[in-house]
Amino acid sequence: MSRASCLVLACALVAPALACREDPAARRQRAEAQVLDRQNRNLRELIAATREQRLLSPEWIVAAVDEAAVEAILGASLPQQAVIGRFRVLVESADVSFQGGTSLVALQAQVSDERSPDRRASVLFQGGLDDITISPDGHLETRVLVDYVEVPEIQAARVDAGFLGAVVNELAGRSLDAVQRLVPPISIPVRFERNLAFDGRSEGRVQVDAGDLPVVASVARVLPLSGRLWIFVDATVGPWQARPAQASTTTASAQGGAR
Amino acid sequence: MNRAPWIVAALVVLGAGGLAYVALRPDATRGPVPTREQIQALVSERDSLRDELNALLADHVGLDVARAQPANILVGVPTSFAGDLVHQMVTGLFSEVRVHLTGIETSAEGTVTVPIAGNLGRYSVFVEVKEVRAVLRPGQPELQFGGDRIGVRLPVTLTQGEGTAAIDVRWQSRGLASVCGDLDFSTVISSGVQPATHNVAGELQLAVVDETLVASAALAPMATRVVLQPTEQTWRALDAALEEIRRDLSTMCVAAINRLNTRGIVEGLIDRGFPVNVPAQVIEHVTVPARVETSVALPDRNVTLEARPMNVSITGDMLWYGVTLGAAAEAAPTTPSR
Repeated sequence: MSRASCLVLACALVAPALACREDPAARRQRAEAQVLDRQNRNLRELIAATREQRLLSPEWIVAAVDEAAVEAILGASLPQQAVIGRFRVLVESADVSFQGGTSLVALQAQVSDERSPDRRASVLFQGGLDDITISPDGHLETRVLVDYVEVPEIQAARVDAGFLGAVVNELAGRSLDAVQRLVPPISIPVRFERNLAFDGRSEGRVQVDAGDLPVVASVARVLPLSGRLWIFVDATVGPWQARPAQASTTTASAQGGAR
Repeated sequence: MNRAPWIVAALVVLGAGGLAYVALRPDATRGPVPTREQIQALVSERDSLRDELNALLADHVGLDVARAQPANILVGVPTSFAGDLVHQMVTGLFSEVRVHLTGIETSAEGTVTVPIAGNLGRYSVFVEVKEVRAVLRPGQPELQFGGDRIGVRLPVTLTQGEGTAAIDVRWQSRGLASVCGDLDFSTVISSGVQPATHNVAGELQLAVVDETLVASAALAPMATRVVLQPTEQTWRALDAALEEIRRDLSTMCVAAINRLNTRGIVEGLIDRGFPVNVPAQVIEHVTVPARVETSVALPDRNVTLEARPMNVSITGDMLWYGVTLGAAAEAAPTTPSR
């Protein structure tokens, strides 16, 4: 087979694969639209819930953290870096916004080429917060979800477009998961006790046996609004559970309060 | 014939066809790439939905956004939850209060006199509580919220009491009855306890302690008296034992002893009751199970937040507490992961 034939053959085999690779702008537009669509669906649900008066229950406990607090918590865990594909990604800082029913997180990062460390660019990973849950030890926890990557220098028409395009192609695909994993889970500093314990006491002719008041708590609704993340928790206490007599005997001299 | 060019040509055609298919096919999984106009429409829709939501929430009584305190981290507890918590804690704790009396003595002394014959003798009656146990049963508490205080009134009933007491009767004959000599008679009776209801009253003061809401109790100690309540069967047994003693006495001595109302004296002693003070410290405080923490755990270390606690504030039906943070989070020395 001639050299020309081989070249034609190679082109024929590679062409469909190239066609499958969406250009960065299209990929970004697709991701942007998906995020907006998700936000709009969430907002419609919040509006419907408000109209039907099922948005909130007056019985729920609310924990609220503002943007500054979450930025401080996120900031304390940064910078974080990892090599993802051919790039070294250094996530430096985070901006958070809780407005109008939407939580947005922007991670500012520096990306450099492992093959050529002088080639570097600033990128912005845009995303939000995942569902908030109460961990087994009672902490409110969530994590950052990255939806898409932006390279502001592309918009600024800087040089080295090839490099920037490669950055977007590499990081906007499956590598977003790797970027997500770079940022540690966020522990919101509000803790829900699982149990209120009373150790019992004895005084004179009166003995108060030990007992426990169990607490069951779960996140019922999350509402990013007015610069705060409002986390509504459905919590119930009780019923009171007496502790076995032997336990109360050994702890009778402990403090009398229930904490 | 050299077939290679034909094979190459066929592959080119196939490749081009594949390229055209991929480029032009309707993408079932990803859909068409949204245009800038479509994205702008989604942005406009989002802004409009946000405005609508904000307007609706402004009228929503359940979320007191406007009146919430300016803190970085806030916890709001509905007064209904706080009330339920106090209710459960107060009734739970008082359902575990046990009263235990042992080794308590009471006594009465006196003389028996009759007209003409005068003094027939002197008696001493001792009642010693060997052991009595009873429990307190709480009723429905009444809670009253007022500012940062919760008024509490809880009826508690002393119930399920039972125990034993020793009765010792000593008789020293005098005068005409001196020939009867002295008597010393002891028996043990079993007894129930007369139910009695008292009110525990006081208030709980709400305050932020260690970044959580604590209701510190200031309840008055409850003073009660345990009154033994022997059954009729017990009294009959006592009468039978006395009858046994009388059987060996002369008629005159029986007449003298009969002047001694043993049951009446014992009833008089136990009807006074035995004092019991239920200390106010049965409940010292009730802690709301939602705590603002001043540090956060990272995978490799704990980070201390420069947090300043704010005082409890009350808006409508919510109790608020929280912290304001300093300018920056401060990294603490590395500690083992939680």
